[in-house]
Amino acid sequence: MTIPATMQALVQLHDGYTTEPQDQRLSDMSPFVALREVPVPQPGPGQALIKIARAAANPSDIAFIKGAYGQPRKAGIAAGFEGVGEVVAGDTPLLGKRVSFFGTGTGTWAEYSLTDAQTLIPLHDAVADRDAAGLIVNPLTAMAMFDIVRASGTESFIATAAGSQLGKFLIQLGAEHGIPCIAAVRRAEQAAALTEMGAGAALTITDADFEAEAKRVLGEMKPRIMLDAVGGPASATLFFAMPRKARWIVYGRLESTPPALTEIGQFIFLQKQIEGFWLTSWMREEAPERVGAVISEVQQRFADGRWSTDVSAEIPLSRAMEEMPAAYSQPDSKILIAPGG
Amino acid sequence: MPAALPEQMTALVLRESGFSPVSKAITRELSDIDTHLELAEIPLPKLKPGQVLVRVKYASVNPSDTSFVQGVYGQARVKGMPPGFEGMGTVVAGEGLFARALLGRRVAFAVPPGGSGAWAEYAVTEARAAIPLMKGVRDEDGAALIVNPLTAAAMVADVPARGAFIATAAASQLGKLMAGLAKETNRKMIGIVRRDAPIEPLKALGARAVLNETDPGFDAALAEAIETHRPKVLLDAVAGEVAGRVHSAMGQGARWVIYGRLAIDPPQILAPEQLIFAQKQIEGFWLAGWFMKSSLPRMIMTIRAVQQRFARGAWTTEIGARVPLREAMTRLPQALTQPDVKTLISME
Repeated sequence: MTIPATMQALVQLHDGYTTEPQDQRLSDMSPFVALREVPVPQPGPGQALIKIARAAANPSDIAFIKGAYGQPRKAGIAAGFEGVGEVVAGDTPLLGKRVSFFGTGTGTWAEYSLTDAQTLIPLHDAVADRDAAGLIVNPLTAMAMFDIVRASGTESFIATAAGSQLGKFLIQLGAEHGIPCIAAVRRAEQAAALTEMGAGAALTITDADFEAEAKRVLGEMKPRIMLDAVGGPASATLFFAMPRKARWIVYGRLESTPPALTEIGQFIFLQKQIEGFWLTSWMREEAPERVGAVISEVQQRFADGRWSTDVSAEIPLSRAMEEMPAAYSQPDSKILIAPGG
Repeated sequence: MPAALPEQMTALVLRESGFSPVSKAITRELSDIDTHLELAEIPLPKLKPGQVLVRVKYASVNPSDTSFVQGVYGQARVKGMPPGFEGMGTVVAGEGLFARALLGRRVAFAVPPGGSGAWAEYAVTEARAAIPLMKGVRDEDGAALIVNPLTAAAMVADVPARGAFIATAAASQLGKLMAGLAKETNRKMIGIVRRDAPIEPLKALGARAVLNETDPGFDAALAEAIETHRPKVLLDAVAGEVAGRVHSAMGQGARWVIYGRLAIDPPQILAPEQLIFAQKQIEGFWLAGWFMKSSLPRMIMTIRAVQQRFARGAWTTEIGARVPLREAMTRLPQALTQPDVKTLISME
């Protein structure tokens, strides 16, 4: 295969972090990235070059380009954390193979991406590109956080923004293991759909009687873990309605209004606590065998059809600057970027 | 053997049961005492096996007591029972071998949940929660030996060795205890206070830095202290807006440990993303919970170390007022408005 000298890429415009408080909304891409013709990166020792078929656009990608993610930006380098494609060059026996990967060298919102050869995940043929493009961030986060749920011994757990792809994975895992997920969502129709899918209960945070309903449902189901993608006031309402020793685990910030801690006595007398979850920390700290086992299980779930990715929009790379904000603002969006388009 | 015991005793007793219907700050004051308490003559409490009866000399008044009396502590009130979680006095009766071995001893004691409390002429406790006092420990220090000193010891021990921590309401009795303990155990305390007066005394006790949160330069001074000492723990008695700001200014892995609520306005989590990327945490500390979790040898060691500190003068309890039991209804509210000193109820 011949590799061209240059490629199209959505490159970052800034270095480091923002100093402004940020949420995960996106009204305009142009302050953060630009579509440019840049040199195709050359793989060094231990690296591989992938010709991208599909890249994912997750909330973590949006937080990253805005400088509000836990690792610094690099101006001039393509954005995009994960994708699927074919290995076309580099220091690896997987040349020519289809892989899922994390763009550790250069990002995936481009025609080609550079990564550590060791992190390539060779794919079963049965795993479709639309699943493989987002094989890592959402599925692994769901599996890793569900490990926390299982280890805690809780009878049930809460997931906020539960209509998201990640939320649906959590609901299915909960149903399979007999630890029902209480799905917190913004809209009543999501609540119905998620209950159908296997959620043990659903709470609509925009309902007038949300707080009373939360107290009733959580009082009955006694969830001791909340997996929270939102980090806003409704999350705090849920937390303070949870029982003794409840843990509020924040893994995203979809809401910009900071939550207020209104029931301080609960930290002291009910031993409640608040913490965070970050997949990057989990991968660093978890035993490599466990990470490997989780990756295999995720692939198996997509291959045998237990899981599938509901793509809400597939956007050509060349149109991403214009189309991404509207696609991203859809509830529970799951966006793929296609370089070929 | 002690003299025959009376049938009745004088006590402050609770006028309400259960919890307060409204959420309130955990306050050290008790302005509406008549709503919550009354002075009464009640029968002497009965002992169960393993318990001792203490003739109380001094009872301590802690924020945990005043908040319990107001129904905002983590344990339900029982109408007609005397409150008071700690005090000192003499053991005058015991049920069981170990309990009887304590007869006549001068003890500090903590009252277990649901027990007949220390704000009375006689109180009941478990024999193992009655701690014989060493010679050299003053009665006044004995009355406040458990709640504050053990809280200080347990919380400071939770700060990594040679590490630093920030303490809010640092001018309190508990803050002063922590400052001395930090210095002794090679940990660095950054105290936060609301007035300039306690700054130098706290530094003399052992705090590395003391910042006045009402200063215009507070945020800059805080940033500098964090940069210099890299505190990993915030020990917070206040749980207000300032604590939220302090936690968000702290570095990677910072734990915000809340043990009191002196502020009424709730704090906010200003930077939820720091929970994710900086692995920050928010949790609580409750001495009763610590008691239940800790092993007996660890508690005995900790209590011995606390007594030794008082006996050699490293710690003293600054007493603001010794209010006689029979005058408590009228004098206690005023006594509790004095900042940063301990109020005792005296049964003599």
